[in-house]
Amino acid sequence: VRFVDEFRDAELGRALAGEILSAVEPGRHYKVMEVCGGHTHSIYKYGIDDLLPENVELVHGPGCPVCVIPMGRVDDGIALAHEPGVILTCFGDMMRVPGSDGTLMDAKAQGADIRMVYSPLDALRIARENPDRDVVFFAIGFETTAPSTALTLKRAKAEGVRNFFCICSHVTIVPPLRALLESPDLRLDGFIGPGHVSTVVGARPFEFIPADYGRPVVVSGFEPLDVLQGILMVLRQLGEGRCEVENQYKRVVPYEGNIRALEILSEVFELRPHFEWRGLGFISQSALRLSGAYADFDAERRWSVPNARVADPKACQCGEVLKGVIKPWECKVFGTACTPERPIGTCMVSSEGACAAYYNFGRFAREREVV
Amino acid sequence: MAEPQEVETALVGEVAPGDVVLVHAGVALTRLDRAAPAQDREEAAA
Repeated sequence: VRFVDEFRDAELGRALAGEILSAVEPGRHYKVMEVCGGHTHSIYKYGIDDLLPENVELVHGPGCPVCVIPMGRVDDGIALAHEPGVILTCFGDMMRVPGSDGTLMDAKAQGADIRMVYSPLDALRIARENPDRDVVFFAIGFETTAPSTALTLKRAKAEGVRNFFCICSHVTIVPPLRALLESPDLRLDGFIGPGHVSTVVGARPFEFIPADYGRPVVVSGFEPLDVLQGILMVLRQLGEGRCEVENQYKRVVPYEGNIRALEILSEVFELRPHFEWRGLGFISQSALRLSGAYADFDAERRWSVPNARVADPKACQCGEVLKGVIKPWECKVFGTACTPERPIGTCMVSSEGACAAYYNFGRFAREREVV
Repeated sequence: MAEPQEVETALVGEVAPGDVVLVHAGVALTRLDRAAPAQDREEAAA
């Protein structure tokens, strides 16, 4: 497959691993955060960590859109699903994220009309097909997914669809990265920047990381050679004393982003004053809500939602995993009470979640031996 | 054969058969032939 196979070449992968080995200084420990859950997935799917020297540690970041949704937000979605006449639509991963009293899947089993969609456009189609019902799309995701919601809302407005609504839980990537960099319990040497988010926002928004915090960033793709190359580029910057934003994923990411997408985002959304992130708490201006021009589509204005803050279960350590403070296998319930089949925390739900990636690709057994 | 999926192309402009685009949640976010894959690799190895 074009743009895929050439980035899974084992020989080139081994060559890059050799370059990485020669780029590290013996005795120096390197902590590199891969921001995006897609990178985490690739790292464990392809065994990339096995190709790295022992003194290069990958730390998983907060870039899994499902993982960062707090329990209270799931409760809001369930409350909307129980409103008379409502069809709640959401992406598949969200169906299994635990709220304080079960998941959307549980609510569906109890009779709520909740339907999985692959795109907000599917939710709009359901609204057209059910003019006597109110259809709510539970919008989650970073700037990668937000344009899809925005374009759907623009289409709904243009078509005069009156029974389509959105509960907007879109989040933005820069504020949590700044929060992590301000965190005293996490020392990072560099970042593998999020590839697909950068398709929309570009690489420029990450310039604050080298400028304000003196850490290199390499925006990288998701195939194994992309990730290895991204790591190598970070290590080369560190070795050469450079500190800048580089773009490994040039075949997809324009440095300035997708200007048309950014224009549409600013038309349809506005920043929330603050938003709760699982594990990271409330972060200012870190999420989106519908702008005044799209208020008629805002489910939070149409219905009253609980909007309650719900503490995570005591046993769950997703917050520490999301901050990179602990590895998934260090969580007390990893692989025992919390599995992909019966997740307690969000990181075990999505394929982009660090815990699910560890568990699904066989890291569980190996890491437990280390313990 | 898989059911055809609707893809919104407003963000990438006109598309023609054979064009390669990156699609996320039903929306084409960018064109994929911005740079040849080999060019990426050569730049990183340089």
